[in-house]
Order: sequence, then structure tokens, then C-alpha cells
Amino acid sequence: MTDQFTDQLSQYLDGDLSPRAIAALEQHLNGCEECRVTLDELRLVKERAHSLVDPLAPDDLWAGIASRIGTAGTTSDDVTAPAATLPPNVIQLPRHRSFTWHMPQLVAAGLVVFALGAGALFFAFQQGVRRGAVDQVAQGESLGTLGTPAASVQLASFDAVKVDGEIADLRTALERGRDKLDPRTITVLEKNLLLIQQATTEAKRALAADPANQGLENYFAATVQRKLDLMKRATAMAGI
Amino acid sequence: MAACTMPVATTLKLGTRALSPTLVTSDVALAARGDAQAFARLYEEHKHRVHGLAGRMLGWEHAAETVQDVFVRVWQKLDTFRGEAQFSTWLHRLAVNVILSKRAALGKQRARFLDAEDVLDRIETRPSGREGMMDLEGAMQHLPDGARMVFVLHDVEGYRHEEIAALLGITTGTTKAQLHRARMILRKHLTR
Repeated sequence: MTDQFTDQLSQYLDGDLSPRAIAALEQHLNGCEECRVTLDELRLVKERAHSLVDPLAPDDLWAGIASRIGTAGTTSDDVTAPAATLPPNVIQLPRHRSFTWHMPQLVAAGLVVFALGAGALFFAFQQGVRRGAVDQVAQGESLGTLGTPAASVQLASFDAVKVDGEIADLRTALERGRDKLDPRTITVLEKNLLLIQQATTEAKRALAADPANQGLENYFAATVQRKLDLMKRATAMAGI
Repeated sequence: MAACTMPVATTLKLGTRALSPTLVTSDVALAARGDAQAFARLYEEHKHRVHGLAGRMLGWEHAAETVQDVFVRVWQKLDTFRGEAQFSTWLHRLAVNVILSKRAALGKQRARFLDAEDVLDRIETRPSGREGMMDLEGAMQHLPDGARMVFVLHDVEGYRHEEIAALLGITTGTTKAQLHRARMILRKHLTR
């Protein structure tokens, strides 16, 4: 591969080269398979970036905004635009609007989101909900039929006992592997275990306050379980 | 605020998502007069896009908080919206500015506070023999900061080099070099 030409490949893709530079590069490409392959790969990156779908924003951000702009009584749930104007290709998670988010629940959910990161849902979509899945949803299929991690958001139920047991198992594994692991890795894993434990505690409290809230339960189940799975893979990769 | 030429890619994205122009205009006008419900509708319409922009530019761990910062800023600045550009264009540019300000602040902290989640994600996404393919979203998070900014703004959001250079305070030569650098790194991930 010739560096002089490789450095021009992106500009070539973007149409930013002069006619003379284009002619020289195309002449080079005719005889350089490596540069042709690189050009194809760069084109693939550009196309993929262009077609990325925005992951869903968490549902519970409006309360914080309303509070900060001094309109805390307003709920974004009440002001959703008319159905006819909803965009056709935006993933709409089935909404469970039969319950109302009270402040303690919002605080609890907020802690969970903070603790676990918004990455749970994002991670789910990152794993496979791409354009095809979006189209399926837009055509009326529920997320539960997609066979992606997002489906667990709908299907899981929160089992605090099971989560506690899995946390205990992970702690045991950590202790067992403490001598083999980098101290920084240990710190990371311990911090995450603590976060999961805190989230579980908050989930228990929120569910105790509103045990019939299926949407809340599903959400906790999906996020906590996802994180636990991630932790298990991390410890497995670390060889403990 | 200077009008921004919204590139084709972004316009198409917005076009598929936009409410009717009348409704948006009406909500913008109402929100500018202090109507919180109208503003909440604008938030509902644009939150996913702002969330995507923030997550890709700053890291997903900062996305939720940044969405809130952006919309608070939008609320504060609504009365300066003159309708010279589409509202979505204006909001997007404002979001980029908020994100870049936040990026500057975060940049000072990042060296000292390495996030536990981030490290865990690195463990999670490290390609193994069996999982040779890395998702583009995940790979983007590992780009050097400058290259990631330019890549997101150019290849994902559709900004032109001249606009990116102005936003970041660098030359177009640098933005082109950063973009190429980002693509070269990402192609290695995608073809590994």
C-alpha cells in the first residue's frame, strides 16, 4: 500500500480531490489491490455511519428537565404528539401508561439508570436492533417478537432472590480469582457488583411501594439481569 | 446564532421523523412564550436524536445528563430562535455547542476519573477469535477524542468540513486528517 495514495482515499470517497488528484489516484488504484480493498472498507465504514439509528433516549429524563426549567408539574406523557404525526420509523417501546410515575419511583428509577448506565437499552439495540428491526416495529410487530435482547425488556420479571444469589456467586468467584487478577480489574468488578447491589435495593423499595407496576418490574429485571450477564462474561474472560 | 446548512443525510433523517411543519412551528412559538406542554412535545420529538448525538460524541455514560442539559439550554434560548433555519437545525446546532462545552469540561476530568463502566465495556467488547466483528457504535467509543468528534459530525450527522472546523476551532485540513484517521481505525475493527 502506498501511503501517499492511502491518505487520499477518504477525500476521494467524499469528492474532495481535485480532478488531477482523482486521475492520479484512479490510475494507482488500477494497479494496487490493497488500496482498492482499503477504499472498499472505508466506504463500508462511511455507509454504516450514515445508516446508524439513534438508540432510544431513556424515558425518565423529562422530570429532570421540567424541574430545572421550573415546570415540574408537566409530564411529557401527557403531551405526546398526535398519533398521526408520529414518525414512521422510530422504535416505540410499548408504553405502559396505566401507571403513574410518582416522585419516589422516579428517584428510584433514576438511581437505577444512573447505577446501571443508560447502556442497558442501548446495549440491547447495539446487539442487533438495526434498520430491519426498526422497520418491523414500524409495521406493527411488538419488540417481544424480535428475538433480540430488547425482547427481555418485555418478558423478564424481577427476582430479587435470584439476583442476590448471583451477586453472591460473583463475589465468591472474585475472591477465588483475586490473586490472579490485576488490582484494577478487581476494583472495576467490585464497583460494578456494588452498583448492582444498590440498584437491586432500590428496585426492591420501588416495587414494594408499587407491587402491581409491571412496567417497572420489567425494567428492573431487564437492566439488572443484563448487567449481571455482563459481569459473568467479564469474570469468565478474566478466567475466574 | 448563525444558520447551519443541514446536510442531506440529516435532513432525510429529520424528514422521516418530523411532525408537520405547522405543528412544530406552532409548538415552537408556544414554547417560546412559556408553554411547557408545547416544549414537552418538542422534547418528545427530538430527544432520541439529541441522545444519539450526545452518546456518540461524549460516551453513552454522559448521554442522559447531556440530553437534559441541552433541553434546558433550548428552553432558555428559545426566544432567540428567529425561524431563519428549521427549528430542528437550530436545536441540533445548539446541542452540538452544549456537547462541545461539556466535552471541554469532561476532558479535564477524564484523565483522573476512569469510569468503571468504561473499563468493563472494554472487557466486554474486546474481540476474541470467535467474535471478530465489533459493532460500529462500540468501536466509535474507542476512537481518539478528536477523531471521534469529526467522524460523528461528518459521517453520522452530515456536517461539512468547513462547519466542523468552525465548531471545533481547527482547520479543514485537520478535520480531513482526523476523519481519515477515524475511518482507518474503524475499518480495522469492522474487518477484523
